[in-house]
Formats: sequence, structure tokens, C-alpha cells
Amino acid sequence: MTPNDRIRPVNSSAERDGDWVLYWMIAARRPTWNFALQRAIERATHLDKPVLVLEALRVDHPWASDRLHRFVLDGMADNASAFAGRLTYLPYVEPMVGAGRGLLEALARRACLVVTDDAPTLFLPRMIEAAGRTLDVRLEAVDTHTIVPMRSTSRTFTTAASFRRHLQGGLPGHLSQLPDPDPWRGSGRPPAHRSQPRSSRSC
Amino acid sequence: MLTRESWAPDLLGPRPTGSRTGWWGLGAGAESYLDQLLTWRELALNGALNLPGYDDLTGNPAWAQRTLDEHRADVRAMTYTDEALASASTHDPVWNAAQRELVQTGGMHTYLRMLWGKKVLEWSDTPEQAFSRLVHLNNRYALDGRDPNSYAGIAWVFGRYDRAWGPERPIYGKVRYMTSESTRRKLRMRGYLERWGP
Repeated sequence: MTPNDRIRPVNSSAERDGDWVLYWMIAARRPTWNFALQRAIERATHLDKPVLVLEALRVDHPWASDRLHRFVLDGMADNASAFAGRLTYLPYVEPMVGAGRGLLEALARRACLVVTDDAPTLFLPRMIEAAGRTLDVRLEAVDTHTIVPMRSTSRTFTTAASFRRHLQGGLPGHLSQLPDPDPWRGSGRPPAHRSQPRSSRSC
Repeated sequence: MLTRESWAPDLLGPRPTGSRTGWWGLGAGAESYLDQLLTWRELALNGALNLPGYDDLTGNPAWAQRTLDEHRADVRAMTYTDEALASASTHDPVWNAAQRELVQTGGMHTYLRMLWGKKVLEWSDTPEQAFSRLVHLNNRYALDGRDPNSYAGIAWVFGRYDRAWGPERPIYGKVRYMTSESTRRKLRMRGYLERWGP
């Protein structure tokens, strides 16, 4: 199970009726060892709903370059292979600036729940908070960056030695709570779960 | 790695010590690797999450900001334009080689990445300009650019997560000083310079 101390509700909306659980993959762009994906699969399993993964690439972010986009596109190809036959994977690359606007909202409209990666840098925190205000469905940000959950302390550490002491205090409890190497297999769901959206059912 | 090292939780030290070695109950190499992977990486995330100004000089400790400010007016023996830095056109073959490696591969030798940052501090008009340039070069070319650990690494160049060092030097003040000459003595550079030379 995804530990509760990694799950941060971004808005006050509740889970609701819908066609899928949406995982909005924005930072932890990987199919394994991923608490956010694991959380989405866990909720989808509980609700008996399919998982829809949205991985998008904006074209207008600062420092956009062929190298970085090739890196992300290669990752999308790998993710497509890893997710095939398991869940619905929607890689989306903007063909032009702004073309992807509204995509998250459209997919969230039919979602029971939206799960995303908690991410502390660049524009990502603002993007997550803005989505929380816009979506009328529960949005959860899941910390899958760290071994000891990054929000377990609000203290700012100024030296490696003091942080190491903090880490050594938390590691023994958290080393036994690592993400599932294969969250789909770990969920016990069959290899080829229904992956297409169905008519709405109660969550 | 923990599996290969036959590690088990009962090897952990009985209480937190803050020490770099000895806590995991592993060999020195494995402990050093885990310190980079866990301590430094998660420290960077702690800063990105909790430290206002994690991505600029204002997030650095007061002593580091003060000493750089005290040396703000120091004469720079040489300065370079953004274009000269990006195109690896400085007088320093070690720095140029590191920059070429970054541009061509998206990565850089770990030790040289520290020197690479220190020299940009030395060759910029102000510490703020240097920080901004490093963020730009790193985010533009490095595959791990834009990551919390990249910002922490850049901030380290200016004293974050470090201590004051003596003697006080021009431009650097009490911030840790590095030179290409000492790097040449510390590392086997010939093959590297041949590979990433002009």
C-alpha cells in the first residue's frame, strides 16, 4: 500500500462517479518503483475501474530543446511498451504552443480521481496547485521522489551532516516501505485488464 | 546494490550519528555511494521544497552571501560572454573540455562539474550573474538539469551546504576555492582532455 504520509490532497474535492482513475504523470515518468502510479492502481483496483495514464510534453517550457524532448520521447516509447496490455497510456506531445490546453480538464471530467507526482521545482508546484483549483474531482499529489517522505519535515537543513542525522532517524522505518517494483503485478490485476473507457459507474 | 552487498536492516547503526560512514554497516565504497544517492539527493529535495530562493543566491546561507558581497567589486582578471561560455571558448582547456562534454553528452564528470561552476563564479561580473549563467547552461544542456539536485549543486558553488574556508580569496571570499591547476594534479586529465579537446 502507498503510505499515507506520501499522499497529499491538493484540493478538497472527493472521489466521485467516473470512468477511470487518471494518473497525470508529470515528473516520475517511469512505470516501476513509482508510488504515484501505485496509488492510482490501488484506487482503481479498489473501485474496479481502469487506469488512464496521461504523460504530456509541453513545447513552450523554458530550456526546451531537441535533446530534452528526445529524452522524454524515448521515455514515452519505453512507457508505451511497459504499459501495453495493462492500462491505457496516453502520451501527448504538443504539436504547437498551447495545443494541449484543456486536455487534463477534459480527461479529469470523467475521472473518479486524479493522481499526480508531487514535485517541488520549477513551474510544477504552481501547475499542480492550479489544477487543484480548476478540477472538480479529488486531486492527490504523491511523493515518489524520496526514501524518507520529503514532507515529513518542514525544517530546512543547511548542512549535509544535520540532514544525514535526520535521514538516519527516518530510514529504518521507510526502507521497509519502498514502492512496488511492478505496481501493476503487485496489485494482482490481470495482465490485460480492460483498458478502454466504459460507461460511467459509481465509484 | 544492497542485495549484492548482502545487506540487512539489522546492520544499521543503533542510533543516528550524522556520520558519512559506518551507519549502514557496509564497506566504504557502498556507504559513499549511498551518501550521494540518499543524503545529497534528498537534501536537495528538502531545499527545493522548504527553502525560499532554492534556485537563486538568496537561498544561500548568510555568511556565503555576505562574503561574496564583500568581494563584489574585486577585479576579475577575465570575464566571458554567455556565448563564449556556451561554446567552450575560454582560455582554460580543462573548463572548455568539461563544457564540451556537457554540450555533447548532456552529462559531465562529477568532480569537474564542481570546478566548472567555480570558474563561472570567477569569470562573471557578479555572483548573481554567475548563478544565472550556471542555471541556464545546466538547464539547457544537462539531462539532469532542472532537477533539485542540479540546483543544489549550483548553489554549492556559492557556499550552500558548505562551510567557510580560509584563506579569504579575491572574488570567492570565504567560499571554497578550486583551480584547474589543482584539478590537473588530482585527476588523470590527459585522456579526458584528448577526448573533449578542441
